[in-house]
Amino acid sequence: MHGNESEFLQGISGFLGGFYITLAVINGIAALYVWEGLHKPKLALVWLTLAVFFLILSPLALSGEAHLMEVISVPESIRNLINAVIGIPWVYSTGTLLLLSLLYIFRNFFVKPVVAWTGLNAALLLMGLSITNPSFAAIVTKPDNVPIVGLVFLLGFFTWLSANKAVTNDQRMKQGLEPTEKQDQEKVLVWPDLVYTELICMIAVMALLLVWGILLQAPLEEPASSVKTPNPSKAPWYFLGLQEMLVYYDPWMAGVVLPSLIVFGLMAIPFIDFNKQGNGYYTIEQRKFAYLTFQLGFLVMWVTLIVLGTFLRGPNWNFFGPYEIWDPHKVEALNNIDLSEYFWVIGLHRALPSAPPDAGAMEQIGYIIFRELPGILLLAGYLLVMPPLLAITVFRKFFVRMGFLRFMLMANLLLFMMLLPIKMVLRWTVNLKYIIHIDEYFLNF
Amino acid sequence: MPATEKTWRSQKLMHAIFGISGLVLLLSTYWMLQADHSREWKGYQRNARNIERDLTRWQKYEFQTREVQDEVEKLAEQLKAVQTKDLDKALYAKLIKKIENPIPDSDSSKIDLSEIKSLHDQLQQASDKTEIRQQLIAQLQEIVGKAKSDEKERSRLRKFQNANYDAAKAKLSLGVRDSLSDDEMTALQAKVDRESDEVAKRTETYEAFNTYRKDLEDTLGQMTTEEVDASKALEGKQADLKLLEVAAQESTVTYFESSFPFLGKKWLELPILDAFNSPLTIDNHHYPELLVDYNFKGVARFDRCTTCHRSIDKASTHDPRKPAYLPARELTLLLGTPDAKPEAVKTLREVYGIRIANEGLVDSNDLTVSYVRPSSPAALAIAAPDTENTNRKTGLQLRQVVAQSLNQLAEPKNGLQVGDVILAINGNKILEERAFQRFLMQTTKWGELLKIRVRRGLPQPYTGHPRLDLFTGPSSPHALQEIGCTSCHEGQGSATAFKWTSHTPSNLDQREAWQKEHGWFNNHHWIFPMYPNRFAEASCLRCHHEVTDLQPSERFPEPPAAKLMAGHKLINSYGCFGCHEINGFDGPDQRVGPDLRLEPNYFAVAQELGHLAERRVRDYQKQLQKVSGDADQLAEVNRRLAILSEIRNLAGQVASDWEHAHGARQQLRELLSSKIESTSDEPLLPASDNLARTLNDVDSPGRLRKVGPSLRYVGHKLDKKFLYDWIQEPKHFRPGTKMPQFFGLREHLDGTDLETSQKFEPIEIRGIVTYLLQQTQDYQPVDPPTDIDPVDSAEQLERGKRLFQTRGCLACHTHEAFPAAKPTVTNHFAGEIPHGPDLSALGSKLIRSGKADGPRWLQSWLREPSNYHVRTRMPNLLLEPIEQRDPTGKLTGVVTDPVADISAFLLSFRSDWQPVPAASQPADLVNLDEFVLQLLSNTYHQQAAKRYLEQGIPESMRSELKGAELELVGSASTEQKLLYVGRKAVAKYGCYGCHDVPGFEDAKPIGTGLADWGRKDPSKLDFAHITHHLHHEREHQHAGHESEHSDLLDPYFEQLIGDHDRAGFAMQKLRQPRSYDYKNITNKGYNERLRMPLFPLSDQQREAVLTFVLGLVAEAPRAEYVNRPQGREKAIVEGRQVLEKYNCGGCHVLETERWSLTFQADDFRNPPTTKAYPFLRTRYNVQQTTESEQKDYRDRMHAQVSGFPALSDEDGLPQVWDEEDDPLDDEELYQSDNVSFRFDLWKPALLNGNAYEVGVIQLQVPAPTIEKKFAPRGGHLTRYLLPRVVALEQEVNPSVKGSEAWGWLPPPLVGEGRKVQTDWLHDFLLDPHPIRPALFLRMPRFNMSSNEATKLVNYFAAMDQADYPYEFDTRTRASHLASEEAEYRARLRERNLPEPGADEMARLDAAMNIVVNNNYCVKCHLIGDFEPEGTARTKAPNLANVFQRLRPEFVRRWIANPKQIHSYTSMPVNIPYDPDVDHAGGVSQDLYTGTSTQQLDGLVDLLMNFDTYTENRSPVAPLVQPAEPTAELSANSAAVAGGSP
Repeated sequence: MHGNESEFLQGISGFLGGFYITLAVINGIAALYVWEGLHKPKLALVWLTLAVFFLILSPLALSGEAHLMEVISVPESIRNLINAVIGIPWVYSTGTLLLLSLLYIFRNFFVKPVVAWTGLNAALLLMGLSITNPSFAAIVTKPDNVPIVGLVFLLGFFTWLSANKAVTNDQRMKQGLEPTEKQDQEKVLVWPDLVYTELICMIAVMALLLVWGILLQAPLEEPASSVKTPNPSKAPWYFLGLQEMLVYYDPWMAGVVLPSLIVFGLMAIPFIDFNKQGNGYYTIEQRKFAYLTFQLGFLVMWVTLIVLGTFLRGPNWNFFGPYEIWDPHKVEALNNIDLSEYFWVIGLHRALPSAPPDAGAMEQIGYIIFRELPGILLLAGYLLVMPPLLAITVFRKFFVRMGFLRFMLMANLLLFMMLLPIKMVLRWTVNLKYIIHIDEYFLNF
Repeated sequence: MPATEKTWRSQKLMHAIFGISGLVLLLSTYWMLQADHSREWKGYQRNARNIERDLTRWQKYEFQTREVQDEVEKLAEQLKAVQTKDLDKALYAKLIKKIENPIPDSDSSKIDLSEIKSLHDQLQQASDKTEIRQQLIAQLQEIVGKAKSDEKERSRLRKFQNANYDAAKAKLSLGVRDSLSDDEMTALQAKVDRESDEVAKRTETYEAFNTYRKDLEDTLGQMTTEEVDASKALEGKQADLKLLEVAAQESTVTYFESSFPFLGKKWLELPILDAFNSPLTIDNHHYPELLVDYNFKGVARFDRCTTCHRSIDKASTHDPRKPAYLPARELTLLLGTPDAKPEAVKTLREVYGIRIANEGLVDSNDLTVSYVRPSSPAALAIAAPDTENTNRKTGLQLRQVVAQSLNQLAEPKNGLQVGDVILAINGNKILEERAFQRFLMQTTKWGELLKIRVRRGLPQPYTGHPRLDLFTGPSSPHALQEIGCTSCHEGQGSATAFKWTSHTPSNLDQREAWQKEHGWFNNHHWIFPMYPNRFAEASCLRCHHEVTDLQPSERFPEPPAAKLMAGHKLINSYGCFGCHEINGFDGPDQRVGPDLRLEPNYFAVAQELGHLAERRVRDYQKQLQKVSGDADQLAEVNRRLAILSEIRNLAGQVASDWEHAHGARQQLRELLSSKIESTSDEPLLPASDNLARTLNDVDSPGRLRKVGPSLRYVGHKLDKKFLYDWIQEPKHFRPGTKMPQFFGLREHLDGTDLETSQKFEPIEIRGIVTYLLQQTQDYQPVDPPTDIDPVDSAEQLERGKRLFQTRGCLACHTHEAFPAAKPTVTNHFAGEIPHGPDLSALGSKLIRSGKADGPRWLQSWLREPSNYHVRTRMPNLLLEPIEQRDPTGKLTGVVTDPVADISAFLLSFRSDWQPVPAASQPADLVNLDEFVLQLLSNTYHQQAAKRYLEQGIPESMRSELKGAELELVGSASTEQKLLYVGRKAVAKYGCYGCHDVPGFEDAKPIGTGLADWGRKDPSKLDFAHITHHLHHEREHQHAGHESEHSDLLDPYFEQLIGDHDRAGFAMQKLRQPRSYDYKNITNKGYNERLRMPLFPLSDQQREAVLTFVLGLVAEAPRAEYVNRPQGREKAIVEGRQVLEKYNCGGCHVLETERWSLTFQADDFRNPPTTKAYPFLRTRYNVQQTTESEQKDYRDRMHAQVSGFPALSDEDGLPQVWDEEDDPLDDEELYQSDNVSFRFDLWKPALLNGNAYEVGVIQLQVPAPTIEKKFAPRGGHLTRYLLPRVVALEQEVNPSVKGSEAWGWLPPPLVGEGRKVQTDWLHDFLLDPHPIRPALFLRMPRFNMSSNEATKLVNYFAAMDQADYPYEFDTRTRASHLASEEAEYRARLRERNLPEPGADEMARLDAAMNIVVNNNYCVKCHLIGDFEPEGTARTKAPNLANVFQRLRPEFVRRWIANPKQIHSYTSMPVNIPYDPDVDHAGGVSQDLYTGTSTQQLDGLVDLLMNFDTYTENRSPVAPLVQPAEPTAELSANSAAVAGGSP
């Protein structure tokens, strides 16, 4: 392996050197823009320093020498720490949830361009420092995954952009001004405003596709075989969220019911949405519920799951830290227990209720229901008791404005959506396998 | 809001962005086109094209030499001479007359002949006639053309008329349909008649015109025939040159076409343009029948390999079997220089016949030879010998080397060739042509040889495929168009870039170079990576399932797959298939690959059943005494005894010969499975159900026997100490053994793992020994013969030694007393693998204290091996008592037993081997208990296991136990525990895979099946911590054990392991089979450890085995691609398997040595003309004769001769002669290039148009003329013994001739198929009897089946194109004899000789006269009861049996001239043929009246009808006493006659 490592570093050095030079250049441009456009010399000096810093890193990277490269790598202790932390599964999802909550709460701070630019630089620097690690590089530079890396940065940018605009609007509206979008009510010309822009986009995209096609070979793998499945066996990137759901739910639930509900829920939005505010301009204050629900559903429960599936799920669908070797021999003990077992065996110290051998069909069903009663009650409680409870507590105003039917629909959709994170956390914390486990009729939940 | 002019964004900025993005798009588009333009295959194609262009250009030089041009000029002059001649006057007059009298009614009549006539007149007078003649001929041709057009016109008219006629006929038919009136019909008929008449008329006209035109043409043709012939000759001479010119033009691509400034094709190769219709294109070869397995579907194969490998199937111009370019390699040649300095003006070409090209082929700076004149010094340059010393040998050594008949396959490197790159002269680097010229023309020492170092061949991908006669060539069996590339080599055939085609490096240097040059990487996504070159032969197995069809053959004398064959041989002889089944069948009829499986174990089952039944019989016999009072019980016991004895009986039959006892096996099985035990609880035979099941028929059963000896009676042969030592480490006693090592493989262990091994292994060994000895069954050794005289032991040893040497033992075995008898290495990949074990130091093994009686066993074994082991391959040597002779050859009356002699000789050899001390120590009881407990806990709970360990397993559980646990029933004594451990160990290590072990008759092989291992998914291989182990091993050795460096795993394979490649896995598995346990077993039970033993293979052998295993992919292509030999080919392939199985080639020569000769016209003497029977002469057709006279560019002819080096009469070693044509002195040193050999032809040969017959002349072959030597097949012992038996015989009879020694040894089987009758050979193989008294040894009786004998018989017949399986001898027809007899009598009458009585066979009697005449046959031959005088060597086979044994045509040829069949025979020509004397020679007319040919036929008829003849002589009828009808008989006949009872 030792020989391979220096070979690897040699191989990556060219790219990494170019990467740092690019970073230096864009920071230089940023400095120029801040100096010339915004007339903020101090800030410009900061970016210029950063550019110089990157410029210093680039020859180190270009050298390809192991001992020089070590300087521009994430130290091993930190790598191990990150691996260890990510290795705790619930950290990732609760962590992303927490992170997004922080971003939301302190959005006024984060939407500042300086903060965003710092964040972007930090992220790119982290990536540069990490890519000297073969395991990290193998995942990130795989032709399949390169678009996902792009996706992460694009999503970050657009999320920031929308939040930035929304915060500006919210502040303006607090001051009684109208949102910025309302100021530009002029009509624009098809030519050149629309068509010209589209033309430029077309050209740019074509150039991008050409370069992509030359540089990144099609990630073809071996012919599919029924006796040998790739390990890990991954869905296309856009389905990785669904695949992650399969870990926690049976296929009929994760593959049929929940996706159907997603489609159904999206169709129902116009009927549920009663908030007339926020049309045609960015805002958070006026549409907090919608904003939060969307960010939770899209960013946390879709995009982060894609990122998770792409970068952190390795052989045997095990969790791997970003710097960990994807070794198929890694084994994790997965001792999951059903709720009924928790209740009957661990709680009450008795065997699971089971029908006598000569019982009739109905009797058997009876026993099964009896056995799974805790789960059934819990689920029924969640879906039947929670909505009224919500209606009279936190969503009181909503209930009043929406009426019974619309509220119930909304509440149930919301509760179904929340089933996923709840189950994930339960799985990771108390090893809960199924809330209701009726293997006899393939009805597991 | 109204529209304003204001835009949303700044237009200036937009323009800028647009400009930049447009530029980016332009650049990326250009980048794309550039990337396409610089795809690597385009460069290769361009280069390949240039190489081809240069080569064709250079080939043209051959046609531009002075000689060729002279010839062309000569032909041109001849043409000119013809053209200046006058026209033939008679023909001219005839023609003019014809033209003047044309067919009436033709336009030709208007032809004006005046001009022609005047031209003709001018021609008569002209001095330069060429032009006028041309004009005249042109005019005449014009007239012929006119006649032609006239004829054509008439033909058209006839055709039209025919159409009218057809239309009229059709109308008539329609009239019939429409039932027209008679009148109308008549009118229509009339019309038809009219049209018909017209057709006839026009046909006549046409024919007249046709004849006229042909006449004209013929006459004109006759007038110009000379001219046409001459111009054809000229064209023919230039045709090849024209072809080359066309080829050169085709491979030249320019921007402009040469003649006109038209655009050339090279424009299309420019960047951007080449994206559209470039002349450089990807080669697509489509193989719709050869599928690639994409798991769900077989997909048609697309191979694009030839896109880069352009000249892969391009043959050399000199030899279509050789590629135009081989991979580049360097070689040194010796170039002769002129005796004196040539004149200054002479060029290289004139002096040496060599020309240097302006530019090299691949690298333009290379100094490349572009022309070599045939038979010039350059063409005749010879390969420099590698070193001086190795070539000098003493005469004796040289002759011994020749006697070994080794392959000599080195490629001849003779002569400089076109394309060679000059590197150095006499060690000086040459970089430019001037330097080259200076060396050759100035600084040379004249008359001496110059050492020229050249590089021949080209780098990849421009080279051709090796052996075009076998691969890719259009006439080869694997033509590129049919087989493609990836179907053999694998790899991604559709890819067009080096790294995507999955090339696989064959060594680390290559790997590194590829990584650097081509960005090669190990693409594990493509599941069919190319076989690396070193394993390339593996893929042969996909179609060649029989494997033996890959042996060298007549058509392909060089081994086509030597490494693979070595692997096959190794697997066969080490018995890998005992544990790792290689099942070639997927279902009973579907063959998927080679089939190497054990045969059904019927014989062992039967033996075990016999043994069990025997024991039960004894039990019941005891019971019989007890129950004598109770009648019912008595009856039951008796019934059981009857069944048991029936079982015993049938089992005996099956055991001794199951292949022919199918019925007995069925009966036995039925008997066992029928409900015979219903009356009692007590089972008749314990555990017989499984055994009975094992007797079932098997679909397509395996064919191989277990490779090890039977251990069923091992206790009678070996004792405890030997067994312990042997099992612990077989090579401790016998270094060269094939038995692998199971124990003490600990190099990967340390700490507790190591301790566990040290603790438990001795227990296991002791267990196995105990088990084997305890299970040893009763065995009756064969008794020695009585009436043996007591012998002196020293004499006995001497006799034993001689017998061991000469009775054939050394054909299969080796012995330290005869080091020279080791088999020669015929396949260097496999090394030497003797057929049987080395027999040195048998004394140490067999003479041991204790119960085992080794010496007695040895004698019994030698007398009848199958008595001890039914399926042994050791033949019965039929060692019968011998009556000794004194030195004069007289019988002394002392009878000795050869078996006793040989065994005394063998036992007299002892080594200093001592069994390991542990062998004599008792088992460590503490460890034994611990081990047994561990074994028991695998089956039972801890508590129960502990209990069983102390008390044994309760008797009540017996019925539910299987296998080893049975040993512990009742109690747990140390003995029982050892038995338990032993039985477990035998099962664990699979001892029964090679040996017959009692108690394991129905056990299954323990290893992974290998039938598809070559495709095994590497992710299913457990590499465990092997890289760490290897790393650790290397570190350890670096730490100071320098000497062991060579033992490390080849870094190439280490790299493969790193790549998770199955070849790397298997290599390490063979090298250190247990090493995958490294750091992997501490937390596992002792029995979960790996158990594969270490086989004593060299690295090379391991690689050969690996080549075979990697080829096992169980993926047969469609039936038409699989090599399924049919007919004779099949017989040969199957026969070879049997030949190998029984090592027939150990004694017999199966195919002769073959020498490829390349010689000049005067190298060989012309054969003398002899008078021989016409039918003996080999006929050659003209084509064969001209081919044999064909000279190559070095002015040499080629031929291949079959036979053996002639033996010297003195010592039976080959004759070798020095430069002065004196026999070599044994002591003196000789250069092996300067000698010449004498070669005995065994097959007629054609050299330089001369026919050389067998036995007429010894070919005198100078060493330099030998291009290649192909080793003979078989005869290793015979060739070893040749000089030795001569020496032995010379002790008795100093005058014997060494050249006749072939006749005293196992007869060569070359031509056996034409020689013997098939049914005789079949019976002889199964039950051989002595035929030749002269032989030192006799044919042993092999342990083979009738089926195998049949295969052998068919093999021999097929090899010689003889009839099989049956042949009919027309000479035995009564009508044939009668008509010949009548003819003979007529001859007698004609010559007024007395005619014998009518019931006599006058002709055969006369023939018998020759036979019994003292001068002829009876001088040497035995006939019936008659035996001639003289020593054994002078006696010849019994003639009374010839009619059964030999084929008539053979007998005829043999008597006519025996030497022409076997040149070594001492039999003379008895009936000489000489057409110039009376009766065309022959024997005296007193003996047989008739010509020599008639006498010959008479003799053959007698020999072939000897049975009829003797029957005639001794009638049986007179011997029968006429019997009186008895009373009873007459009563019976009366009753029958009466018709009532």
